[in-house]
Amino acid sequence: MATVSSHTPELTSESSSSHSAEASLIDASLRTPVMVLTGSALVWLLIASVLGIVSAWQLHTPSFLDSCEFVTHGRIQPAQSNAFIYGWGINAALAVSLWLMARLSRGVLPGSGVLLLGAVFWNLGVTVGVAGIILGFSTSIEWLEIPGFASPLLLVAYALIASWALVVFRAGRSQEIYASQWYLFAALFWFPWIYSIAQVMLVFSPVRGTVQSVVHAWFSSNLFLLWFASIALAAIYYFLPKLLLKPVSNYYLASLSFWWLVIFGSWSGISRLIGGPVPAWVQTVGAAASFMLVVPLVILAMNFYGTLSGRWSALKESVTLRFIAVGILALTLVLVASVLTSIHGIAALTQFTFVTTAQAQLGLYGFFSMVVFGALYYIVPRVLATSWASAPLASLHFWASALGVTLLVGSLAVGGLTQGKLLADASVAFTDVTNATLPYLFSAVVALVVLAIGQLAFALNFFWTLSRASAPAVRSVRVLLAAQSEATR
Amino acid sequence: MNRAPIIFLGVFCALAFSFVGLVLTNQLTYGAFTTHVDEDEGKAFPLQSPGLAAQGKLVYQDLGCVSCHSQQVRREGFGSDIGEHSRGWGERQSVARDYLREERVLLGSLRVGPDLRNLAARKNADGAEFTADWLYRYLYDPKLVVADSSMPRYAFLFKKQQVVGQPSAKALKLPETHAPAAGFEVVPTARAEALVAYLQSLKDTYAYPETKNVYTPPAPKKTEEKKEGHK
Amino acid sequence: MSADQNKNLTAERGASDESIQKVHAKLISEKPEPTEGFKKTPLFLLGFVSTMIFVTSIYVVHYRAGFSPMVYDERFDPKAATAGGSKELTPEQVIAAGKKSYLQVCATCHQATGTGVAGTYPPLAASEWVVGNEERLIRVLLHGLNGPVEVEGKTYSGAMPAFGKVTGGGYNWNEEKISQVLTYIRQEWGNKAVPIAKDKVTEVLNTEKARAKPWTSGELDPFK
Repeated sequence: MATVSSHTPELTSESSSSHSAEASLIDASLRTPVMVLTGSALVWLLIASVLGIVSAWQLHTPSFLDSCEFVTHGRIQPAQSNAFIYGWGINAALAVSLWLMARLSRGVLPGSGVLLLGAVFWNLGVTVGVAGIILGFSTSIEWLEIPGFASPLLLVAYALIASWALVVFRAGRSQEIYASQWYLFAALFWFPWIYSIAQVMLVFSPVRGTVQSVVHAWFSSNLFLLWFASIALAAIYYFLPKLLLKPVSNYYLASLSFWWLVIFGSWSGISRLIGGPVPAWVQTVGAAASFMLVVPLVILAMNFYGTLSGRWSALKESVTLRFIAVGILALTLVLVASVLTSIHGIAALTQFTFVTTAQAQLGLYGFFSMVVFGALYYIVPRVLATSWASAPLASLHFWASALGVTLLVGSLAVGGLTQGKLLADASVAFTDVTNATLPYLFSAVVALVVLAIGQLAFALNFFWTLSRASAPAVRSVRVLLAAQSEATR
Repeated sequence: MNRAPIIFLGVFCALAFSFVGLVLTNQLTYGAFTTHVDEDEGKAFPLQSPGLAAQGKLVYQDLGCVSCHSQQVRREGFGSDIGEHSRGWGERQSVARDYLREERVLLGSLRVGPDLRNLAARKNADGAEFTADWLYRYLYDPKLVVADSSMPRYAFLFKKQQVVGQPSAKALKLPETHAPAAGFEVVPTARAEALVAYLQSLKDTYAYPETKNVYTPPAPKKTEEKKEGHK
Repeated sequence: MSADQNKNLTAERGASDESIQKVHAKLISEKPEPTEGFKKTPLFLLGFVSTMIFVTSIYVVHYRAGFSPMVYDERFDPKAATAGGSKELTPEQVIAAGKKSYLQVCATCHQATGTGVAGTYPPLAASEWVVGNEERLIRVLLHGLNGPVEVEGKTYSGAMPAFGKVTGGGYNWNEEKISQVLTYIRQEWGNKAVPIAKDKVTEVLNTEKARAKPWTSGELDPFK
């Protein structure tokens, strides 16, 4: 475009594109894997919700279910977090990234047997892992409690699924690589690296002393920033311009923000160890890296809010955009929170309180899960070539999730700050500190129930839609390719 | 596709940068720490924990105690862990060497319950030490010992058995409201004994050379004698 | 919000994938047409990024604690400390160290208030043994004391173990620790006496190398 027009170039609509037939072919080829991954993700989401409600209620009323050792808080809480992260989070992330990768590479998935095997292994691994936690084999490492006998299975399953995503990428025909593809490509590569390092250095051949804490902090923040956040950002970069028919605002800054987020984000996890038994320089460097996250925060805000500006009315019509908008807001807040809690004075107040829980929920639920919900609302009907069974259920899901996550994060944050202030005052007896958080824990439980209602609505909607969708006609790869070449002529 | 190899290289280097800088550097600088041999006391610190305590740590892990309890003491001035007007959770900041012999470092990330790092070296709210007896009763029903405790009961770590002949020396002394029926007594299981042994081994009192590396604010000009030490 | 909504959920209204990629590929190499306000964007960002780098570098340099794996307090500077002869403790630190050892061990018998137990453990507060001749006091702590002793007119008969690095001693405290505890008790509870130096303890230890059992009160009379 040598001659620059006076306003930003518009995107051509799908219906007028010559490649729309190809898109539906890609979608059809992804049907079974995406359905299996999404379906299992939703089942795990419901399991995690129930476990989460039990665990939060146990914090409020410790005598709840304390007579049975399998449901004591110390086992239910890690079971919940692992079911959520590995059961819901990674299954859903893989479903969305497979679809995004296939669409953006414009490559049809050449057969899904290996993928399905991977999905089955993954779910088997998570089931064995969560059962292991409940039976008492937890490793007691936060977010890595799945015992050592289940994690290799997870890595094998992941390898099967992720390598297929790379096959699709290589087989695809797009020439330009878009921002979403960088994030997806990077995330798919990083996850096995951080997960296997964590398993080796923490579980199988533990390193000495608090080097374990350093590895663990590195793993946890990378799991959030380099896996969950990257996949969610890939989805946002795709769906915003797609649904608003407007290119991403200030897109030329997107690659700067990608590299900056990744390079400094992977160092920023150490800020959780401020004041801890690791060398002071490590704590300082971790805090400094967290401060640097302000730069990608500003750029992402420019990209996303800039794209949405002037088009807020589109949110009314698109449930996907509504979820994504909430996700963008949560991303802004979570980056601000991680910068703030790395400042010594604030860290002294917020460490070891529910503020850290609130941050984790904001990132994993408010940001990642909301964006993935939005993406799934777009993906599922196209992959099934049908429409959603119930719009009211979708609306219920949105409102329950938005209100639920706001209430959850809000009550945990305020409760955590109260807890922090009281903890810092040594004249307050410890039992008084914990008792002061009870009303906030109660409202957190209410929030979790509201979230569970929304998730139930989504699951019902999904399985109902699935049952209504017509069975796919059996096509051989050759027929698929023939139809493709037809479309491109 | 032409830029894919460059992106791959960049992606690899981005993570390699933090892996090398954070994980490998620390593994090389202090992952190789050895115990500190104290000539005066003729022992190597940190001390090897006794066998029962090591088993107790496994019980601590399997019950997931780390989800509510932390095990690290922050420095003075950073919260109210130690120092004047503090909760007296330790004498000094926890250093890396304190955790040298631990196969699983359980720093914890939430303080729904108090920090446990120096449990055996400090006093409870009544000013007494945490005796095994106190700990058993606390695990059996926390509200017996601390009226408004928010810890769940771990009664499944104990068993009710019939008194045969003499009551067992290990039987818990429970008040009327919680005592078992006549002729029965409540005894800790092996898991409870191991757990309590572990809790009683938690103390970080040894002063390693690096614990002296504490910042002292510069002395005010009034007291000239203090300057002698800082030439 | 019914069938219409359903249609909206699946209608092909979005942008096509290849146009997304093509358009953005051009955008990445081409800044948007500068209109009012656009020129500020790159400058503002450049300034912001530079400020962040500057501020963060200062933060890292200030709190780097010498990049030492032995420092856990970020405010501590190892270079400044070694320059000041870190081995030496200030008088306050000596007393604090002495107090710590006292409370850990000595207070069991002599009590935290230094009052002792009538008839058994002599008091250390207002005691002529404590504020008196350091030769006698050092020997008591190094080798122990058996048999009756008279302190401020009252008699006490306990058995004090040997705390120094002597034959038969179970505590094996080094000279520095001995001097710290003695310095502490000599200035606490109203006592006012000069501190005891580590070298003095070493001197006494060498003089009494042959001593293998605790002192009795009579044996210490020459050192009154």
